[in-house]
Amino acid sequence: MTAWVLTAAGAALAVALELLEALAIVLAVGVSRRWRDAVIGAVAAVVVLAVVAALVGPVLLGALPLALLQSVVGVALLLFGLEWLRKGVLRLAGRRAPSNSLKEYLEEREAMEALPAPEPGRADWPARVVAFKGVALEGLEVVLIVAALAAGGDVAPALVGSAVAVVIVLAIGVVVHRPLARLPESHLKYAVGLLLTSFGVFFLAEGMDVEWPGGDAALLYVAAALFVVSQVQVRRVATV
Amino acid sequence: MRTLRKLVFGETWTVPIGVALTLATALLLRGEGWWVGFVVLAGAIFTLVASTLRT
Repeated sequence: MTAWVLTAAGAALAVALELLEALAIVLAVGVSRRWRDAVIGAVAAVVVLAVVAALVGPVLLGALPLALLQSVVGVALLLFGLEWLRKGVLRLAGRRAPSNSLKEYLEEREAMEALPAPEPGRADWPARVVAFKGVALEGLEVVLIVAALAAGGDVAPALVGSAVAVVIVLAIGVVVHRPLARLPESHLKYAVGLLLTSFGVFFLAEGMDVEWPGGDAALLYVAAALFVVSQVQVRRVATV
Repeated sequence: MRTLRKLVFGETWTVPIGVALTLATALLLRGEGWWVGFVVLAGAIFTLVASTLRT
């Protein structure tokens, strides 16, 4: 149950935060150029990501022995998780600009408005490429994280968490601006870093034939240990 | 390629090097017992501390 809830929460938060960044880019392109081209770029990226997911998922789930799969997943989650956690510590310590999708939206919009206006009746390739790149890059991280969470533990919570996140982000997209500005993105990303790193430690150890004392509950004390150390680091880095 | 490298390995080399050292240590100690899990945890903590202090 612990692993189910934490997998769903980790997938939901990671997917929501990455999708928010992609949404900020697509909205900026749509508002400053043409919605049609923004949507074409975004949909093309979603198609590419679906192909990647269809290739990565079965390869991870079907082709590798369990211990090797857990080790691969553990290493992947450690790489993603520790990077998110590192940035989270630096942001909370004031050593890095806070994560802010609204700011990203405004910057992207400004950059798009600086380009020559699209000609009527012709494809707006700069808009399509920017929307495609934004969705593809943010989405690729989502695909890799969800595939790793699903492959290491259970597919259901990873998919449930991802689906909830997609609904939430689309809802934010409909009533955008205000909710985007109020989200504590830096804290949420720090929390995702904690969860992904905890899963990374857990799965990598299981891949090395470790039987954790307490079973799945080990995720809780691993996360608690990482929380304490990262909070100490926030204070240390802030005072250096 | 640079974007893809940044996506997978992050912005610094400290994290991938730390994860590689953690993996190597875990492989050496594989099958020794439940405490190997705490060695992996210590590796993750060491990597986090090193990567935040170096930045």
